[in-house]
Amino acid sequence: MQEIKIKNIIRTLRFHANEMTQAELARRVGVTRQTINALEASKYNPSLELAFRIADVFGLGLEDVFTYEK
Amino acid sequence: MSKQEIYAWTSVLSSISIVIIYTVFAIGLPENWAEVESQLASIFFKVFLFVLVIEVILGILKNNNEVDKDERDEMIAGKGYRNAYHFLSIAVVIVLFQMIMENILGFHSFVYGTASLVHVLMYAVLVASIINRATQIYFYRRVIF
Repeated sequence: MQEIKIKNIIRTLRFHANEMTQAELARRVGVTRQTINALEASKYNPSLELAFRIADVFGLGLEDVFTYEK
Repeated sequence: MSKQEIYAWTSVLSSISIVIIYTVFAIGLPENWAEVESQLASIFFKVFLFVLVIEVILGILKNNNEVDKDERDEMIAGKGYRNAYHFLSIAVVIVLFQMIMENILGFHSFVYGTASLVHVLMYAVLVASIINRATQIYFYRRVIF
């Protein structure tokens, strides 16, 4: 099965959101800081629910934050 | 390192300690290993206690602002349980199969008698536990999923 890689711009968005920390983002979306770290490093593909929650924190749509790569 | 990853490491260490302590006390080492037998048991008993203390401390130190376990932890735990379940299923089937073969064909294998069966099943459970936690550590440290 082909590996699906979902890229994201969470690091950039955090930077523009007044240097929001990983811990702060993690607290707001209800996951551990390590999960945010794994997401930023594209080592983990989030569930749809988590992806929506993250996009919602930055006031953006899902496709503005996450991009799909084959 | 997340709390769940620390639990995975401590659990692997405690399972290895139990395997060694169990081997020393229930089965025993070869005679030429007699000198190291008590030292080995002592060392791994201390490791087991150390791991237990770490787990208790982790349990007490609960930060209300942080999530202990999230969807990634659950997904990784699921992969660990899956591998452990496969191993345990195969181990139990092998043990049952050879016991049946023993009764039918009179073939003596590695499981001979009730005591031996208990040991084999005990090892199977402990190794399954190690496989479970080792899988979790592997996914925490390396793999993209």
